[in-house]
Amino acid sequence: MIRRYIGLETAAAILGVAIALGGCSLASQSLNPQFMEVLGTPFAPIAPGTAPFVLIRNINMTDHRVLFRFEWIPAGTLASAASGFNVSAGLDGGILVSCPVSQITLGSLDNPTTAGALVIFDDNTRQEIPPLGRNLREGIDYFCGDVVIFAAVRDSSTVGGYSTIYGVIDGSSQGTEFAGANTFELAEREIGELISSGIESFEQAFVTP
Amino acid sequence: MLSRCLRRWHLIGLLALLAAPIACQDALNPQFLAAVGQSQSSLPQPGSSVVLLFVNETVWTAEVELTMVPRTTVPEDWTIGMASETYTPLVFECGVTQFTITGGTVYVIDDGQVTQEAVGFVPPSPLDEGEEFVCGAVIKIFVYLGVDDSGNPRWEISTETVLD
Repeated sequence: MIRRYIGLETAAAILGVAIALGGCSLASQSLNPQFMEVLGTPFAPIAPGTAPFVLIRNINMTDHRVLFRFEWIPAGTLASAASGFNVSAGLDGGILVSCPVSQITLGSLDNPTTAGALVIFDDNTRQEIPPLGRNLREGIDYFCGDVVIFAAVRDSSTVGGYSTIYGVIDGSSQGTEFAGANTFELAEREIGELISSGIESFEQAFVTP
Repeated sequence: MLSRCLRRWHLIGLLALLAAPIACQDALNPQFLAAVGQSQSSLPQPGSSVVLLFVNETVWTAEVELTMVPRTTVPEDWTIGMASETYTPLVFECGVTQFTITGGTVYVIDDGQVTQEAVGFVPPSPLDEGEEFVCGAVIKIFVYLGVDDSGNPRWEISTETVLD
């Protein structure tokens, strides 16, 4: 019995050190923010929250480069805008779009057959990833202040071997107090100053006069 | 002696095991998993961000080229295109240790012809995490018409970090 106890204790010790040294990859990406969050105050926001934006984020969880394509309907127009990120394995990119954003999808809002992303292999051959397949709607699927995430993943259950998943981070649930910078509030203030000096949002290019 | 050493090892390991769930709590944030709801819960929870606010103050289309160095993967080159007199707010998860602006191009239209004019001045040093920016910051990157030491006009890029 004592022998068994020592074995378990040793195993727990090894497991504990292993986890502490590298078992939590998220912790290793931003040690200071994580530390602050353990103490109870988030270091910086994850979602825009009270700032009037939706953050559309693409995450590449495959082993290859991925070119994402997403669309949304910018404020002040009924026409859709398209953009996307070309990111290497393991990386992400996001863009702040101004509220209200009535619809968002990965792929095309109007054409459900348009690919949502392309996997780009080392020899430059490409593999289409299907679109999300439905249009996400503000007030139903997400709200102003949220993060809408589209991620590309390996998926052996699909013909092409890849698929996309999505998630929404509720911006209203993250609180308003941060130990570090309130990133999106800063962005809102700086963007407000740019607008007052005559610089317009990149989204204006999509607005029909 | 050996016995004491083993006891210390066990103690360190067990303390680490007890601490690990706290350190990893964000990865398991139930709010996020609930929010994912209709989709799969295998998404990683993104952390805090750095916002790169690209500002094209020129009356022409412009591009900025930059290299970012993530902590966990190889450097990544980006080219950001901007319409005239617009801003573009891009967001990257914290974990980028360095941004280096490597160049820029302004697409001037003269008499119906598009001419590519290289940006004549870019900030000389990279932006390093912990020095020029920290997680949560907003970094503004401007393209504008400036002048060189001789007073001649040239396209320039400048940066400004905003923390509060």
